[in-house]
Amino acid sequence: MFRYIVKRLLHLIPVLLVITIVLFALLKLMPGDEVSAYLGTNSNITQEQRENIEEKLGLNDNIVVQYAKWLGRTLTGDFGMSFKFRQPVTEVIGSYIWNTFLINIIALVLALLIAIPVGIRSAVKKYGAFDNAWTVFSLIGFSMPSFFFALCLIFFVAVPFSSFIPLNGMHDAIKLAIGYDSIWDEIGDVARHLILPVTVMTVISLAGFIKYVRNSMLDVIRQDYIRTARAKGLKEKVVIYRHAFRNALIPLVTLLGFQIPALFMGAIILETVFLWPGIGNILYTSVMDRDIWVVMAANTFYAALALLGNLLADVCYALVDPRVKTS
Amino acid sequence: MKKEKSQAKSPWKVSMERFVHNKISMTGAILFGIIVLFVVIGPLFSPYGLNQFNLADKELPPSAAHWLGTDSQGRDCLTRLMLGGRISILVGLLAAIVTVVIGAAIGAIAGFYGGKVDNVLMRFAEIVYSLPFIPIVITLSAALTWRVPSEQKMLVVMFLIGALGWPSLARMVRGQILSLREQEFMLATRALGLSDRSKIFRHLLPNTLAFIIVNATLAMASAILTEASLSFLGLGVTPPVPTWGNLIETARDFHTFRSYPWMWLPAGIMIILTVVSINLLGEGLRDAFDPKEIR
Repeated sequence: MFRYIVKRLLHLIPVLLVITIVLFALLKLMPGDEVSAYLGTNSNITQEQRENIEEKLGLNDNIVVQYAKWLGRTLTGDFGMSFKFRQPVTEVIGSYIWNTFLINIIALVLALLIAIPVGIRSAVKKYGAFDNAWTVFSLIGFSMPSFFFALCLIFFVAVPFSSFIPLNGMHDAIKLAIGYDSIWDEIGDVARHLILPVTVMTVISLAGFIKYVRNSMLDVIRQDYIRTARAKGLKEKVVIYRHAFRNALIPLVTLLGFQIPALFMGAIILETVFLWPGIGNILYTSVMDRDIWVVMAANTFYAALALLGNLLADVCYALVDPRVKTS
Repeated sequence: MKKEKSQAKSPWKVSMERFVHNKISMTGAILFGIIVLFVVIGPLFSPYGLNQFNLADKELPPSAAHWLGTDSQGRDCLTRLMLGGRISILVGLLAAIVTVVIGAAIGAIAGFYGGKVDNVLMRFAEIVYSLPFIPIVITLSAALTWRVPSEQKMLVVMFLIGALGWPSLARMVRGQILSLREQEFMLATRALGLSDRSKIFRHLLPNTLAFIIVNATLAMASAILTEASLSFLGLGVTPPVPTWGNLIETARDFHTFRSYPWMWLPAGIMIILTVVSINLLGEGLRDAFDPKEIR
C-alpha cells in the first residue's frame, strides 16, 4: 500500500509540472503590464525608473528563464511577492486560506450528514414520494447557478432579516473596529456570517451527493449477498445499514476525492458574491489586478488539490475495497 | 402504418418511440422548445430594440408597456432578456459542439489505434482533466478577452469552455471504441479494405452516436451554467451584448440588487428553467437509448 501511494505521488509530479508550465505561459500571455500592476495607481515614472523596475522584477529574461526562476523559488517555498499586498504570496494566501477551509469543511460535513440518510431512504423506497421529491430537489440543485441561488438568498432572506443575518463579509465592520467583547462574541458573529454561504454550498453539493448515495445503494441492493442476508431472516434494518450501506460507501469515498476540489473551486464564485475573505476571492481580485504571483500560487494550489483529491479517491478506494489491486 | 408492422423497427426508431412516450423527457423537450421559441421569435414581437434606450423611462418597474420593467438606461428588460437568451443558449450549444468534436475525435483515435497513440492522447487528456477548471477559466478569460470586442468575446468563451470540457467524453468514447473494435463488423471493414479514417468516422463513431448525443446535451447544460458564471464575474460576454449571465451581473451593484430586482431576477429564473429542461432532455435520451439503465 505504502509503495502504491509513493508511486502514485511520483506520477503526479510530471503532471503538476506540465500544469504549472501551462499556467505560467497563460499568465505571461495575460495582457496588462506587470510594472503598472506593481506600481498600482501611482504610475508616473520615467522610462529609466520603469526599466529599473523591470530589471528588479526579472521581466527582461526570456519566458523560459522566468519560469525556471519561478520554479526554483517555489520549490524552496517562496512564491514571490504580491504586488498589491506588498507581502510574500505565502503570507497572503496563508492568511485567507483558512477562511476557505472553514466554509468548505462545514458545508461538506453538513452535506454528508444530510445526503447519506436521504440517499439510503430514497434507494430503499425507490420511486416513492420521498425519492421523487429529492430527485426534483437534486435536479434543481444541479441546474441552478450557485451565484444566483446566493443572490436570491441575500435578497429574500438577508435583506428582510438583516438585523440577524448579515449580507456579506465575515466580520461585522463596527464590531471589528471597536473590538469584540469576548471570543464567544466573535465566534457568534462569524457564525452568523457563515449561515448564507454555507447554506448555498451545502445545497449545491447535496444534489450530487444524494444522487450518488442513492445510485450506489441501488447497485448494492441488487447484489446476491443482500438476498442471502434477507433469506437468513435478518432484520431489514440490519440488511440495509450493516450489509448494504457499508458496501455502498466504497463509491462514496471516491466521490469525496473529486468533490473536495470541486467544492473549493465552486467556492470561488460564492466568495466573490458574499465578499468572503477566502482564497477564491483573492484569486478573483488578483486576476483583475494582474497580481500574477498570487494568481500563479492560487492556481497551483487548486491544481495540486485536484490531483491530490484524485489520489485520495484511489487510495481510499484501495483501502476500503480489498478487491482493488494496488501493485 | 401497415407497412411498418411487417418490418422490424430500427433501433433508432425504437429509441425515439421510447423517448416520446417518456413523460419526463417530453416535459423537458416541450419546455426547451418553448424557451427556444421565446428567445428566437419573442424579440420579433417586441416594440423595443436591443439597445434602444430612453433615459426618461429608466428603472421603471414592470408595467403594461414594459412587462419586465426597464433597466438603468431605460432599455426594455424583457427584450434584453429574450436577446440575452439567444446568446446564452448559442454559447452553450457551440461549446457543447466543441466539446463533442474534440472529445469524440480524440477518444476514437486513441481507442482505435491503441498503443503509443493511445498512451500519449490519454496522458494529454489526463492533464487537461486535472487542470482546475474554474480557476483556469477565470484566468484564461481574463487573459484572452482583454482587448477582444464584446461580440467576439462570446466566441472566445464558448471555445474555452469546450476546449477544457472534452477529456471525460474522450475517455468514455475511447472505452466504447475499445469494445466495438473487437466486434465482427470491424472484421468486415478490414476485409473490404477500408481506410482507417472510414473505419473510425463511418463505422465506429456512428455506433457511439447515441451515447455522444446524451453527453452533448449534458455538456450543453453545464456550458450554459459556466458561461453564466463567467459573465456574472464580468469575465465572459460583456455588455452591451446581453446574456443571462451579464444581466444578473447588474445585481453586483447593491442599489440595483436591492431596489430593481426585475433587472436580474428573471434572467436567473430563465437559466434555471433552461438548464432543467436540457437536463430532463438528456436524462430522457439516456433512458431512451439505454433501457438497461433503470435509474
